[in-house]
Amino acid sequence: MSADPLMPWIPGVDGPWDRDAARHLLVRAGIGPSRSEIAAAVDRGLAATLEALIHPTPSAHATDMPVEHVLARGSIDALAGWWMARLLSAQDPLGDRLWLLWHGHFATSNDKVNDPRAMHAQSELLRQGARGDFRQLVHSIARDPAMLIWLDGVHNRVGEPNENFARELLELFALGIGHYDENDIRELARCFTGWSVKGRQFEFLAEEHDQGTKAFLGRRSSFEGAKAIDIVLEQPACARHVARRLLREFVALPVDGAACESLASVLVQAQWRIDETLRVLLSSRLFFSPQARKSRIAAPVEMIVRSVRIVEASMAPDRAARAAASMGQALFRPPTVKGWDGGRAWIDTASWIARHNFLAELAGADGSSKDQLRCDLAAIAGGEDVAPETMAKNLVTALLGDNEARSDARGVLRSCMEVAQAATSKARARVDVATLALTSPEFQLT
Amino acid sequence: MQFTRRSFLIHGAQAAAGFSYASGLRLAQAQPFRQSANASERCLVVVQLTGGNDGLNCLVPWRQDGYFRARPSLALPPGELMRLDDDHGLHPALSSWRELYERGAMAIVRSVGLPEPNRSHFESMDSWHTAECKAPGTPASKRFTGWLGRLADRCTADEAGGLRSLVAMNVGGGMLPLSLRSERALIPSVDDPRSLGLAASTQHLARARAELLERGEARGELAYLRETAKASYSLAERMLVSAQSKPHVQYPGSALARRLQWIARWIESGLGARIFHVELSGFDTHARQVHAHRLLLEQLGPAIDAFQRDLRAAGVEQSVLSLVFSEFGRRVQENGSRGTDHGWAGPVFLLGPGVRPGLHGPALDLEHLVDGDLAARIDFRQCYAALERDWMHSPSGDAWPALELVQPS
Repeated sequence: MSADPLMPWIPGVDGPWDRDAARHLLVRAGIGPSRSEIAAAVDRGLAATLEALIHPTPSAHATDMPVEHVLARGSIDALAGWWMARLLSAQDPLGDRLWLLWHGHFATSNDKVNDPRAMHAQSELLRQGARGDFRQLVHSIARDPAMLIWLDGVHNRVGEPNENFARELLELFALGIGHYDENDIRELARCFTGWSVKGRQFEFLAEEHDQGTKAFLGRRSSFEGAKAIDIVLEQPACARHVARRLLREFVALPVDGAACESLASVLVQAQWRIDETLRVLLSSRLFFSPQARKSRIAAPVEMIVRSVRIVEASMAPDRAARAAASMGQALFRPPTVKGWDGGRAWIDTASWIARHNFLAELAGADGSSKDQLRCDLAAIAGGEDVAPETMAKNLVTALLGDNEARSDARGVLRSCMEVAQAATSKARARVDVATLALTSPEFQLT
Repeated sequence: MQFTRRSFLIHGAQAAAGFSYASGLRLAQAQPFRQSANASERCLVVVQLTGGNDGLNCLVPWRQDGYFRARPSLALPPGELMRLDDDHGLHPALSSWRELYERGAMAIVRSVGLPEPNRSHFESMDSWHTAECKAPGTPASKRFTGWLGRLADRCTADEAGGLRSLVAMNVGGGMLPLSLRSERALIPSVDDPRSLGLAASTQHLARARAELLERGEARGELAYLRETAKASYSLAERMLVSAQSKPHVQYPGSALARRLQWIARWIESGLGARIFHVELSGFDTHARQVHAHRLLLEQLGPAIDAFQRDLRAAGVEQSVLSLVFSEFGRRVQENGSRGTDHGWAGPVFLLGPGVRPGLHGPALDLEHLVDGDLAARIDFRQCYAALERDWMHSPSGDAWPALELVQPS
């Protein structure tokens, strides 16, 4: 890797801007591009595609079902279904990706908050602040009612400080371990005393606020919460912490100190705007390097959205949300405030079987099940009557991408061709090929 | 968690000739599943009695007058009890445990409970599940994991080579109990082997899949995915085999017995899962307790007895320890409806040859109740600590003085 890993990757010079490159960008910057979206990106070129991700044109059709309908049901599962519907419609892929990222970063569970409306409000806050100034996002989330309940902010009072939020702000949200000590946590907690919730709104209880002098992170004064957050965000470790998070999410390679430093500078220079920082990252040599492609094990939500969209099926969002939960990713119910570890942690024998069965059902869906899920493979295969080898090639290309230099894709293709020839009918052949391709380990890598 | 309840991989007689991933593994990594009969891979089976089991009518201190004074209609006739020693007898419905007791495969810990009485089912059971007690009205802890989930996480962390196989299961439909909530290990709820079956597949497709998992060189994440996939298909195969294999003994017809029977098959087949949770509910006997309690114990007793005999016949009994607990005991004094209300301490039963047999904990003293209750003199977490440290060899790091409940190995 050259001196600056974030140096721009020049399409046509450093590598081809082809379907593989476009797919790589869309599957990382978004969640599940369709074939036509990938083709459109190839036509438009890297810069225009990035611009469209960062500034999507608002859709002419409002696809969101009114959320009030869903919130009135009072069920967190229903809310998960509603958000899943958003992801499946992919109106704003980068927004979706960032929402999922921040949902796992500022991980808050309804198991304790016990209020779907508050969880929805938090999600809207995350979504709206997702691509903007990260510092502003931290300020907003600190005052968010669901967060205040989740991390016991509502119990944090002068004389009886509760350190929960202060600890997680330092350890998980902003700085990372090693850049603060227990004293910092204690003193920081005092700055947030009196931050409370009333009727699902933030409320500051002045009489509960500790007005004394606090000393943390080398500063000393009678700080209150907002100023304290500014001090935390000013630490050099903060920009690096965010940079590391973005690298983990979008590049998914082992931590590279140089890349982290470099991206941290980019973030600061971009006034902490996530979208402009990503514009640099997502057009860099590091991002487009061969090692970075297909290096990431898809999270359940991602895998489900990607698989449903790539076969152009339409799945009931509630079903998709339930499937994600069965694979270990229940939206709005992360296991802990650390969110989901991701990567290999998603995959064990039980979750593999869950993924396998989901994908096998999807591939074979012919409309006969109760929810009438249907997967029309003929169109993707190039028609009802194409020859088996052509059919296999078309399906594998559509489902796995088509960089033929990659030996993993070649292996799948060969197996699929054999299966295509052995099947008893063309329809059966298509289902078998799709099943084999989708349930392959190769498909899990994005 | 729901898995597709479909028929499984179609093998037929070709299975033997086909693709057995177990023998096909070439890697230097640890085997993805273990033969539990040989290895020191011990299993823990947790049987939860939900509702607040009346422990005083399970382990009966029949010599104490206080028992009969407090329970004019509920006291069990001493002649019907299964005698343990001069002072104690078990409820007659548990008489099938006589053999376990006589062979030294039963331990009973007396007076176990929370440090302060908590008569809420929900809060009390949460405490048993999370191994944390909170005073009412204080904020709940950050811990949304359960003691068994954490144990499962520790067990998977120990595995060499990074492959993570199935380590714990909730046996029975429905939601995963809080005790099994983990941070990393994915713990399924499985009602029977078909729950972890694969969607139906044709013969040649299954073969193609097997071959694809071996094609070419795989490194990094792809290699990890392949190994897990192989282990998973093998798990599904074993689930299928276990569904077809017969128990060594006759089990009674209850749902609990059926679930224990599956657990015995899975342990015998070396599936790899080591922690099992199963539930029997209905113990909240506020009224007309005699009949209701007896019916429940008539499910519990024979099911556990058959389970132990099955394990023994399968040659795996020494690797398995069962824990039977409830979220609280009941009040000593019967109420006006010939039942009992929520109490405090109760007995914990430990079954299996690995236990230090006999009665543990301070003797029951019906003359010195606390507010009408048998007080908990042993914190339930001490029992957990003994099982984690001495049975599963995976201490949690929580500082509870462990009891000596397990035979030295």
